[in-house]
Amino acid sequence: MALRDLFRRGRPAGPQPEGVTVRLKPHNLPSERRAGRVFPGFLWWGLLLASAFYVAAHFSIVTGVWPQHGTSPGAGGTFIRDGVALAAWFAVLVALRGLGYRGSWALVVLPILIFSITRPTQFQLFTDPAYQATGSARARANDLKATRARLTSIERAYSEERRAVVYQGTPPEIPDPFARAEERELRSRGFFARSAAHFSVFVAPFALLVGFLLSREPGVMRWVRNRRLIPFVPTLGIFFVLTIGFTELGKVGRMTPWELFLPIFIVIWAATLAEDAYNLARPGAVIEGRRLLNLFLYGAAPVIPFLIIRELGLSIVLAGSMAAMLLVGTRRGWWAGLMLVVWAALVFAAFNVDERSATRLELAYDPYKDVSQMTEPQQEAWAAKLHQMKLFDANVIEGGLLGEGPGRGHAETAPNAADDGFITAIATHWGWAGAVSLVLLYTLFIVQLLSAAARESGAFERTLVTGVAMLIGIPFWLATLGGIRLIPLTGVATAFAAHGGAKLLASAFAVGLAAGVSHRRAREDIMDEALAPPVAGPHATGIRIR
Amino acid sequence: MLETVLNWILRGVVIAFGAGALIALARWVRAAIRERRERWAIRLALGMLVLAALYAWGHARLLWNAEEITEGRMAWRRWGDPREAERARGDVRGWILDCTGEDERALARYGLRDGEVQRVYPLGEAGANLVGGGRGAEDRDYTVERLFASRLREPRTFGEQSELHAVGTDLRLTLCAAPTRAAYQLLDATNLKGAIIVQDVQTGSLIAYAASGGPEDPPFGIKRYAPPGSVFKLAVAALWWESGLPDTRMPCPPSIQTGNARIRNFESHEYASISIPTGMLRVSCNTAAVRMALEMRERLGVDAFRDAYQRFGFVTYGEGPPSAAEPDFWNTGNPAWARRMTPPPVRVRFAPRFTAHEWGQIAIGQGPVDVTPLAISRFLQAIGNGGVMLPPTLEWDQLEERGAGRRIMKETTARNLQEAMLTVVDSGTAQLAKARFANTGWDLGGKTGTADVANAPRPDAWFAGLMYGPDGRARYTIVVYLQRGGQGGRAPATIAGEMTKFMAQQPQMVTPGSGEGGVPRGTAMAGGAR
Repeated sequence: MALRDLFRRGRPAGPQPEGVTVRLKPHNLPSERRAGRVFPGFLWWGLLLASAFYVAAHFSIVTGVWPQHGTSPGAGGTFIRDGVALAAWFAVLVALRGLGYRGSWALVVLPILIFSITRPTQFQLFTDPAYQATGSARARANDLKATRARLTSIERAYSEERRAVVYQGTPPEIPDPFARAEERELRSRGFFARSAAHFSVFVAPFALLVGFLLSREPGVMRWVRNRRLIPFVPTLGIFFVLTIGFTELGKVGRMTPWELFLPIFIVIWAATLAEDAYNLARPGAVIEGRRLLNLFLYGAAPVIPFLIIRELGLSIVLAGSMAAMLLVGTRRGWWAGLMLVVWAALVFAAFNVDERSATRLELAYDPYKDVSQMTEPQQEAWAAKLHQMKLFDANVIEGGLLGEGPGRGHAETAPNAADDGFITAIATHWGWAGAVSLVLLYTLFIVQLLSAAARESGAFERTLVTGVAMLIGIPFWLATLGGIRLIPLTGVATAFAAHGGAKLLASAFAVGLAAGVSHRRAREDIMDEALAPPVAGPHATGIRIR
Repeated sequence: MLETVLNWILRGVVIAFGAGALIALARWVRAAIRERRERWAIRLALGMLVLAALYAWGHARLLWNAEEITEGRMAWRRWGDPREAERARGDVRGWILDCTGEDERALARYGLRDGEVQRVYPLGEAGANLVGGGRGAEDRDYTVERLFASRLREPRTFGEQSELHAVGTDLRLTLCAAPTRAAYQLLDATNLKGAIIVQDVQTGSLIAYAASGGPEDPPFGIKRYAPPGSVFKLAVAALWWESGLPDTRMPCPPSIQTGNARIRNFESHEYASISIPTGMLRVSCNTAAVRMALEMRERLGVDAFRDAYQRFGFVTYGEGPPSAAEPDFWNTGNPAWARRMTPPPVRVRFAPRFTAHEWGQIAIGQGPVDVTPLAISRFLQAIGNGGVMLPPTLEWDQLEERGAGRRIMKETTARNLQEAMLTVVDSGTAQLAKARFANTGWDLGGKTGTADVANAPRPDAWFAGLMYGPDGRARYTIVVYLQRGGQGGRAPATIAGEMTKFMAQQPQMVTPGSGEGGVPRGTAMAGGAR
């Protein structure tokens, strides 16, 4: 048993140790380690600023956008939900502090900053009268919204004389933009789907806490490592059953729960690599029946259902994360080369075989085809495909360099502006500068996760945190670069910044896992340092004898 | 106001987060390299930074190509564009005001129609060709509404900047609603294609513009070439006086032999002796004009013509026709307007080896001479303004920016031309116009043009002239061009007379050159480069 196991809280492995529990008082900690317990100042100020931003941006939307466009049904609930979500994130920070969290605070605070900066954009989209409406209800909501916008603008800005010229009599009534669309919209989505979307926002902070509580317990992680088949088989089974039997257009009952499976597969894959990293690092040893079976079972099988439901984006996320973990776990560059070849072959096949992928490629690089060179049916077909992308482009262009301001602009006219095109909605509201700022903040978050992974000496922890970093990083890059047409759109959700309840929950849980690992590392470092044998140092040699 | 400030602060906060993240990333990379941390982590982190840079570039690239992308988007607009629909229906653009600046006379404003507040264009079809609205408004690409769209959407105040649907800035034009409507009614009554342009002599501003043409057509009076016919004799007469040649007398035979062909007068009119150049203009004698041109070529050389035409704003060319438009044709603060609405240059082909017949054809505005009605109006404006040409403008705000103008002919030449043009209406080819504005105290001078067009059943008809106020000062140009309109001295001259009468009946009308709320009289003359 390692010495440090003596000082672990909870259930130690094996027989109960005979020893003493040492409780270190803060003043006994080395000064540089004490920093881990204290909330760093710059993060504190950042959190304060982000919270103020969050509140002020919501306020600006409520006072500046709602009166002009009107609101969707449940806008008030969304407002309260966002308020509760902010409180929940703070509650989690307080809880972590109370639980004696000693890991990297950046891992926990950066998602909150990202959430705070991006949520007002989501708030505007989801409280817009037309954004969630469908079919004729959407058209009707758009009409009424436009009429309302014009009338309120005239009422606000025109002098009495000018209003008299406009109306030449009694002014028309300002319409309620959602009066007719409301009922249809409410009917179009199931209660469970709507509830799940709402609850995920303020349940997410607690998912982070759960992830933390689980991963900080060595016993739980050890159990997963030793008994990984027990969680793996039912998870994969449910996954297969859902994708094969209950999926319609990639959704189960109007929900996309696929993201929830990803952290589980990542943890199990980390356990697999930790067990066999040494052999996987040797090309000769890889060609062995049991090892190949492991690679297929834990590494390839979870990707297959995504391919069945043609979720190319999520398959890239999972496969990419696992590949990065393999690379980090084995520290062998040839894995990277091999994976690149496989990846290139798959991409080539996807864009040549799969019509949907080929279309997405065309949409990214040549969206505005010459109308005159196409027949009428071709024009119709391409116009339908182009619809979303041209509105994403319009979002980006409308935002310009500094954006239109919180909730301003017309980002809501683009379908899926809250998920696939979240970066374009950010661009409309905050411009190039704001979108790049968000990208940098997110980059910092991913780098902090990678940094936490690099600090780990254990193969399991290291690959797990790397997997978490990739699980969050890959979708982010797919969505952001796809939104501005640098790569084809893949339709994957982005954690903390875009809409997607399952993604938010899964990512918060995954961040919690990373935070737990980071916490354990910090504690173990402190213990190791505190219990290290004294070395002859200047303070030992400099004893003055009178 | 408070909201605007708050929104700018919020933008600042987002940028501050970005800056903070960038600093943190730079410090992390520096520390990682200095402390020789794990290579894979540094590589992955650097990869992320490369992706961030790639994003910044990719986003900037879209903004850089915004115009091209918007054009592409517009090409696919007819299959549905909710953003455009919302903008069109929800935005409150600035009003397009006419020369009076009064809300009641606005050329484009908001009004209640079918129970809904809509953008309305009180001029209807009369303003559709230049202002916007009318039939097929969505397809009109050459209108003020379209080309000044960004200005009309620009928030009118600082406080409006933070509004979701910012109320746009008004645009006051020099175009006057009443004369434009009157001009359109006169044009419409002819059932012919054509254009009527009234331009202020002292400021160069457009006062009235009416033209035929469908939604997809470029403005007929601005972008379309037409043979000028006898209107071009004004340029020949101007050169005569510019060169210091004396007034003289010449016969006006019914035809003249030029090389292997003959050039005839309209309906083979003949006069035993007419004064040159005034009489030539008065009766529009082709044969005398040809003789004048041949004589001037003999005495002054071809280069004198080339130089004079260039000075008048006409482009001479040898082999290929010139394609580049005059860059500073308009006095405008809107590059989109200049790009889209600059007319093609008036062009006169000077073949390397000219026959006498070709030379004669140019003198009477036939053959290789192409003009636009607006360019002819600009030439007349210079004549009315004592020889100083000012760029036309449609924007009231630009009146102060018009500069001193460009002298294209001597003041005496301009005066002589004005006097000759007055005789054309008084006792020449445009006598029909006289009765139209009788007893108004106003006067009209001009030149008629009847231009034969190959394979056309009737010639194109012109009247290009100047309207004089009661004080005898040239106030406005008037150009009437009717495609297949027959004789210039008939319908076009009559329309010019009617327009003169109309302008005379609008004593209270504030036009840019009227001195009421506009630019002081005589500014251009005083400041003109003489």
